[in-house]
Amino acid sequence: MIKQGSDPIIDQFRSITEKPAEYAKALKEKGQLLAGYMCTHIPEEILYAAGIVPVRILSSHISQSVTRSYIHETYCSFSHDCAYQGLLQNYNFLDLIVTSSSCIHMGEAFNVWVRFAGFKQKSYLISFPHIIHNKNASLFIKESYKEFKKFIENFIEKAITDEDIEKAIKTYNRTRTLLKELWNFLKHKNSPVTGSEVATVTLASQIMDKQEYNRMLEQLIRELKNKPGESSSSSVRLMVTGGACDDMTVFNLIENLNYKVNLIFTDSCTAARYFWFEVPENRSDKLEAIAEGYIGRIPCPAKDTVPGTGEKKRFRFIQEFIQDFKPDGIVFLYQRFCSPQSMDIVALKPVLNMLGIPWVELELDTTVPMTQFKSQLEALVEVIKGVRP
Amino acid sequence: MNNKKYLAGIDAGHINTKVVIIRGQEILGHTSELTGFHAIEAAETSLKKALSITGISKKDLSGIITTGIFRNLINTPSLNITASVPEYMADAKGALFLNKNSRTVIDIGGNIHKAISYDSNGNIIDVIQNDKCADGMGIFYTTMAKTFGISEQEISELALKSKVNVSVAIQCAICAESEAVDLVCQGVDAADVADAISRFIAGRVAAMCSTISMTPEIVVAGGLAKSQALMKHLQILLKENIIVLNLPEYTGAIGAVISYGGEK
Repeated sequence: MIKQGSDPIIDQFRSITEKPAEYAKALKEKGQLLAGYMCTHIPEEILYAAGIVPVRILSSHISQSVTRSYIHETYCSFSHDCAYQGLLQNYNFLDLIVTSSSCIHMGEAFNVWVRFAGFKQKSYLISFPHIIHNKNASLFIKESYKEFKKFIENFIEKAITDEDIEKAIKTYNRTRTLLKELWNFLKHKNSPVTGSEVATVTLASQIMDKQEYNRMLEQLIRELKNKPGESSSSSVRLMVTGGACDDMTVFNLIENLNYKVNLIFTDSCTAARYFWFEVPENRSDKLEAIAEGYIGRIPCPAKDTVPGTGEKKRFRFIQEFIQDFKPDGIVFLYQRFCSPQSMDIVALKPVLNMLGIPWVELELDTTVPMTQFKSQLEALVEVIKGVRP
Repeated sequence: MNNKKYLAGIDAGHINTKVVIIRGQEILGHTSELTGFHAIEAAETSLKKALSITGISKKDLSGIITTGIFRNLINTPSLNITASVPEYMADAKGALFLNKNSRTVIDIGGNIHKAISYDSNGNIIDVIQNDKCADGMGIFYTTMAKTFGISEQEISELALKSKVNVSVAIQCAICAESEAVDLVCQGVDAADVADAISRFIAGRVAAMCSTISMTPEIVVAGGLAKSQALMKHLQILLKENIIVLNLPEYTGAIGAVISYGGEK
């Protein structure tokens, strides 16, 4: 169970992550235009500039077989679960559903919404290049965003001005800055906030209206600055790297083992990869700025191969995070059947071995075997602490 | 009635070999043996027991008709098989015999599950069988009962007492088994675990059924049809009324006889 009551603002964020559809529906009832999105390669700034709040579609962690008739069996459970949300009509109040041609599995979840959940006339697939580490990628993305902007303008029957976009860029950059500030608390040995709380607050950012979110997060950070942290000098610092994980019980588990453990960083598209970048401000070409921002993100493993060399740029970020956040161990946490993630791990293990950082590999599914995960995580901590029987 | 011939139907399934002795429309007796490694032996033993129960000698039989996955393997001189019938056909004919109004049968067996729709004469209209990842639902159910030290009937009874919805991984029986055990390790109530197991199987079966046209009345055959908890979930998921056949696990064996000279 997720720990409650540590901070009223965090509890508020937590409640939104636990019932994202309810939060979105409440916005809709106030007359807000909403666009659901399936993947973080969406230029949310364009939607926001048009007065549309982007809401990330998340999973429910309830086992079901319905989507087995719509999506391939060996697509990740996250995509199955997100597709299921559409079939359940949990989000039928959304004005739009959007994704980009980034992750095939999530693309199929999007198709289920479009073909079987009534979103055929209110959907948009943003073209996104398969290879992002080359000169043409930015141009491709910019053109693609231009098409998307046109579609949105037609949808709202109004032109989106550069001023609107700039305002949205600044709002989103503010979110990113605040989130970095929040995550930086975890660098310290006596952080006033836990890693699982930070992960929850970050997940909430993918659901909420950014202006409301920024106000809440600013208040939280102000409070945290004045809050004495709990000393954690004997605690083991674990960093997570992997794929989408909206199951906050996993992060909570990491920090509630039989050993004292702090979760200090999470590299995933539901955590740091979502916000650890900035879109350049005050550029004359707004779409070019957005394209530059999104291409400079910590890459998703599905897009992260330098042509010719096969280099993975994400690995550089991971090494930087290791230097900055100083983990004692790494948890590879990824969705089963996500091939790009699992292939990256093969290449990452030798890097960690060279750095002398132990690791453990945990596969996510719709539901997770908590006691098995606990045993594996405690084994990792025992290796780190050099526990002898 | 007395001049009607005696026929034996053998359904040599993945897990159990079922035998029925039928005369006219009357099912005189039925037996089941574990198939194991020795399908022929299981068929012979099961047949012998069925004959013994009904007091009929083998020479009195006008025919022995087989069906099931092992039907070709048991076609030996010792058994003197008259004919064999494909499983789908046997299921359809058997289901129609047991319920004249039925037009679709869902057969949840030990290793595979399938759905068959048919017309008023039992002629097959459409069939669907589970995908590979959904194999072994019956085996899974039995294994879970053994793991928890209870009977299959008790799993169902426990599940019906469940108050809290918990889930096991939906991917396959292996994952579900692992997570069911994990739920027990977490201290989750046994009734809720039993319910998750039943819901998992019902979910896999319902997913398969969504790919064919399910013409009412829908009946359920196979050993797992005896689980009330599973049937409860299946009915909810299919959003259709379902009827459990009498002697559900013998539907194939009965259908084999009906397909070959038995009386409808």
